[in-house]
Amino acid sequence: MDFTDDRPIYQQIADDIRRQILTNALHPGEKLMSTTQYATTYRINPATANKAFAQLVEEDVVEKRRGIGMFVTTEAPDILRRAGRAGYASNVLFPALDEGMALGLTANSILDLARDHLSSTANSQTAAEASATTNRKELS
Amino acid sequence: MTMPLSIDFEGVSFHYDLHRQHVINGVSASVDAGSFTGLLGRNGSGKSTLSLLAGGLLRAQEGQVLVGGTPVYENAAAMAGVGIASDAMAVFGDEKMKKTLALWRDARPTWDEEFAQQLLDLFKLNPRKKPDKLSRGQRSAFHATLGLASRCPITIFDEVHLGMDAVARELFYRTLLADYAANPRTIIMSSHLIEEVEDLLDHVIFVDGGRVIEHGDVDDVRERHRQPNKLPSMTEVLMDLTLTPAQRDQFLKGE
Repeated sequence: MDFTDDRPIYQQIADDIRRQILTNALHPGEKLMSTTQYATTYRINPATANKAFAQLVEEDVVEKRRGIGMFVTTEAPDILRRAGRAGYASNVLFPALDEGMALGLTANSILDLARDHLSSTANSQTAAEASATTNRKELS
Repeated sequence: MTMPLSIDFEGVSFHYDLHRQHVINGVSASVDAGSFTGLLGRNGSGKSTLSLLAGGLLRAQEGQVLVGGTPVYENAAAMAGVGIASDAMAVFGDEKMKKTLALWRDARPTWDEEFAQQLLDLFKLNPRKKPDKLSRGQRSAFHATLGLASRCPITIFDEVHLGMDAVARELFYRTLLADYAANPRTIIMSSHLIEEVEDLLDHVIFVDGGRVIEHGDVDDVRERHRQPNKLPSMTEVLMDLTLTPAQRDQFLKGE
């Protein structure tokens, strides 16, 4: 994780944890790195990592188990998806569409790109699910 | 186990005997127990004098300095809780480093001998050599070793990086960070290499002309000095605080 200078570091750490949960790199019930690990891995003050944790605890995305550490909550993915969807169009999609128009793409060519990308993503997801099912069958 | 202590400067003014002019001028500020506080300012701003006042090595003519709630000047118990790693520290220059290490070991109840040995290895310091025979960077590494291994409830690193090469400095920062996370205590660090140390800090005190001109939580301070599209670095905060309005327009706002 490389830090940028537009936002406090603790917000960037919180965003990184949110992204890891949304992309299934971190699962519900899984333990986060400790404050000390964050401090030494990213060469930051331990309190900075604690600020990130506090923000995520506030959102019910992680919970503190006293004496053990911070854990992803069961409902974390749902909470993050709900929160992400609320701002998706205005924060992510519309700026990307505007950027395309600024580059001289037509509305139709942007829509074609979107359709192609979505169908290929859907195909690869189906393929991944299918192979996961096969694997499970082979195992059982 | 080290108990972190706080430092309180209460209306502190100080001048050296031969000079009338105050080096420290009505400073009121606190360093939270357990914080990692940066003491930042330009040359001659009073950073080192504040460190010596906090260590009880200088007496304020006005106001007082409290360590853990107790006045520190000539108070042996309170002074034992403050370790200052700097050029001004107690080191036998023309005796083997072993002798200084033994002195510190005896004077600091929180001293960790094993950690001291690890640090000597890390910085490639031979304890049978004399500090006066070392290079500038090695002498600084020795000061850093004493400050780290003493594990004092309050440890002040005053320009302790002087002469260290880039790798030695990075070893010092990372060792300090890991040890601070494992053994919480109050750390004060003054340095001119602000960019190198700013991510290590959780609090900051800016000094100029013997006065505290800004202090607080690092994120709050950055937010107060925000630039149009970015949060300022601590160097830019110091520029914002110490440049004239015309200089600020020329050097800070021009993007």
